[in-house]
Amino acid sequence: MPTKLKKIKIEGFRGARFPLELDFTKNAKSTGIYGDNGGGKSTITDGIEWFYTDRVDHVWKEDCKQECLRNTRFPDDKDAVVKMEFSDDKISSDKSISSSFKSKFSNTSQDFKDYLAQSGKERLFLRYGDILRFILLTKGKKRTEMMNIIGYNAVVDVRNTLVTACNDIQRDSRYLQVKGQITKNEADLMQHFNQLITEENELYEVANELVEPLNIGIQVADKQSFKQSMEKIQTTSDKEKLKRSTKLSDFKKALEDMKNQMDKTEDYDEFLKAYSGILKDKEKIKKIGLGELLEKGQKAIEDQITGENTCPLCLSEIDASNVLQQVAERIQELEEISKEVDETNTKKGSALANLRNIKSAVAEAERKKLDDDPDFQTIIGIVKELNQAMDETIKDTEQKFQKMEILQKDPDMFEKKFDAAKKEIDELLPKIQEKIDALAETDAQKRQYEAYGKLRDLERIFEENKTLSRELEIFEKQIETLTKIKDDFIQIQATVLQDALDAISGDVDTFYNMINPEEGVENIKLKLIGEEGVEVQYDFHGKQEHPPLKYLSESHLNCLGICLFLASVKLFNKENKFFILDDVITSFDSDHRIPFLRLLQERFLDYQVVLLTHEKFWYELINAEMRQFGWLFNDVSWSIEDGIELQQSVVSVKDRIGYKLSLGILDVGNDLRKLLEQILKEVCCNLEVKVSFKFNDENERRMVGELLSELRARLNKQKCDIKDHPVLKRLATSSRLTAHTSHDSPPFESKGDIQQVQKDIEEFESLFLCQNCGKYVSLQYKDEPGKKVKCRCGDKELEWAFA
Amino acid sequence: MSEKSIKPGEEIVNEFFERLRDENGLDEKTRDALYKLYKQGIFRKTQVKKALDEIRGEALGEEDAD
Repeated sequence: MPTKLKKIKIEGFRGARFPLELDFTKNAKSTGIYGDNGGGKSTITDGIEWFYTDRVDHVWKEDCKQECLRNTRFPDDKDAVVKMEFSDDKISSDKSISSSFKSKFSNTSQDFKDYLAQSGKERLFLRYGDILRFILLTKGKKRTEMMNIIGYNAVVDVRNTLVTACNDIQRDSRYLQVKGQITKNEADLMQHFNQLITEENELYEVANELVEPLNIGIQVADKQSFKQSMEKIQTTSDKEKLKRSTKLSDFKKALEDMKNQMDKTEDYDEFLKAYSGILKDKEKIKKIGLGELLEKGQKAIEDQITGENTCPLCLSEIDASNVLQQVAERIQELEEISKEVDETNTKKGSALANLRNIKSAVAEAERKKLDDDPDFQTIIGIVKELNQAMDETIKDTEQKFQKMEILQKDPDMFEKKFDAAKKEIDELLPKIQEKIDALAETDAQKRQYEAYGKLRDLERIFEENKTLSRELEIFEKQIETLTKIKDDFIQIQATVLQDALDAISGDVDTFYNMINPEEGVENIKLKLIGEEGVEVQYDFHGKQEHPPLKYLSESHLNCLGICLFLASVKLFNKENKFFILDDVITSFDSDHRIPFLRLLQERFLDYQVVLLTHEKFWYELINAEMRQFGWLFNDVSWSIEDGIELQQSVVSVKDRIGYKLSLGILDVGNDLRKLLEQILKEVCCNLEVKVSFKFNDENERRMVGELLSELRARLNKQKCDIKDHPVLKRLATSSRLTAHTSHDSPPFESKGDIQQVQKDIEEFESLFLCQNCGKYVSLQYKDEPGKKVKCRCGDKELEWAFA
Repeated sequence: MSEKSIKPGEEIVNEFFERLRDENGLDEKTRDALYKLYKQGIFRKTQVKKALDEIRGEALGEEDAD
């Protein structure tokens, strides 16, 4: 059974200082609620929102949270409560919040937990301030929002995880380093052996080419013979000289590598170019910081926080719809800038790998240094300095990017120091070679040393590449797998999202055209734009257009927003068969209001609708159109003493007085006046007491004194048997009750005073009210000879001289 | 009355991961690790990175041991 609302009771929450009860009857009827702006209607929506979502979005956005939920005049020792009674009693629950802002539900059953979890995914209320929110979102945000509405958060989460994991692994510094090292090793192989060596047989072939001229009698065919050949060279050579020669070769290679790496700064250069591009126009970066402000401003204008056409910042007059359009465009522009920043971030990964390769080569040169030779002192000093400087450069690059500060290629480092190092290396390399050559006294020795050095390099590079290639292979398998899974998932996500968009589009188009027939806007569709966005497309006088802001007026945009909400309700609400529309029709002109009500009649008759408005004219229109469909109607008002309250029935006003007295509150003058006023209205209505005509709301605002006076005149005229009853005089002369507001009357000093007035009112009511059927005597039930008026059951009667 | 119905997001994701288990042509260890993280309810970027790092570490460790 779908869930509907039977009763909502709010006490001590937001504007409701005293219990505010909305009774939708056991039939869970739709209801229209009227209240002036600032009259506290939204407390009802706030209460419902908090009940389901544990937050009140418009309050939270203002950085006020739980502390703003309790009514400020509500006693600290009592919990503020939102009580929801549903058509299914099992899931009815109170939600309370204590003065220490701890909240809890009274219903702890699994049924209720399941209900709450499902309801959290449904669209239960729409406020005026939220109508345009979706339409004005950027394409990307519309996609995210649609995913949220559809309940595809789980899909979004998985997609985001796959996309970021995929990007991250491709930017993984270890992955980039492995790739870089393999490339470097391959370059070394090409340089020294004129070929790439990836298989063992290729390794042994090259080893044999080195060993054969030495005539050491070993054929290299496997690992063991490779090792033997090197040992044999060692045993047939001067060990010390061979060791020195090897060390010099290592140092020489490290310096050569360092020089090569210092020449390879392309990735770093490319990053700096992209980075300077986004920093060049400093305004761009500043604008990113404006994103949040613009979004808040957009919301403030939509919510008309400072009035319909007033700038929320400078309070000057603005054209709100025009400003909103400009703001939406600026937010779109900011998203593009953010994308550019993201791309630069990717380049930063390669740049850092670039710098780390240089740093790694410099560090290797420092490790292989030979500090026992005075010829090497200069380069050792340069290397040491560069090693430290590279660390700082890497750190600086990361930090400045993070802070979006200007970052330039340091000329002292990349020109002066690098040039000095390269110059020194260029001068030193031949000298090192000379030193190596000098160690070999004969050509045979020279060949031996060279072959030994090359065999060592060969073995090292081959083994290193073998390990690195395996690591790279695993990385690439993971990347390939992750990419395929991500692409498959994105494809599925696009398909299911478009299916959902198609499903919702049909209803949006139908609803919109029911409200705005033949106005030239047709075929409204929500379409996926690329991978990243969703946009509302429509035919405008036969031509396909988007976005809605392009041609639709504010009123039509609002209508579109409402249709989107209603279509979402139809499509996605599985558990609840009710929804709340909080002042959403404000911008509709009268031509579109009745079609809107007809839409509710035709398409949402099986739903329970709670429609709140501050427009009296609209409220009366709803009343006229919807009462025939069983809608209930309530007025809401607000006062500083009592917070918000419904224009109450006699029974609820009595309850309220009793409730206040139980709390020791003697400030009930207003309530007593309202109670008497309600009773008088009922009595006067039933006895057709005539009062002077007044326009509109004034007609409702009849003072007790006026009603009582006219009633007494009527009773006199009809020679009613109670016309001289003392209670009528007592009430008529009570200044506490006949004044328009309680402010004008003297306060009650004791509970006894109050009880006396209560007694008078009860006595007055009992003159007209039947205890048996609970109805007032009425001209509707006059007796046959025409001398008496009775209640419905006939138990209560009054003499009445009919003309 | 709207007759359309939309499959819940959780169901879409679940079906995807169940189908993934039988998917050939993927790196099995990566595929299985992602499936496991999803089933454990910790399918997050940092967990995926950690799992992939571990797979590489184990694979290279095994080879070293060989």
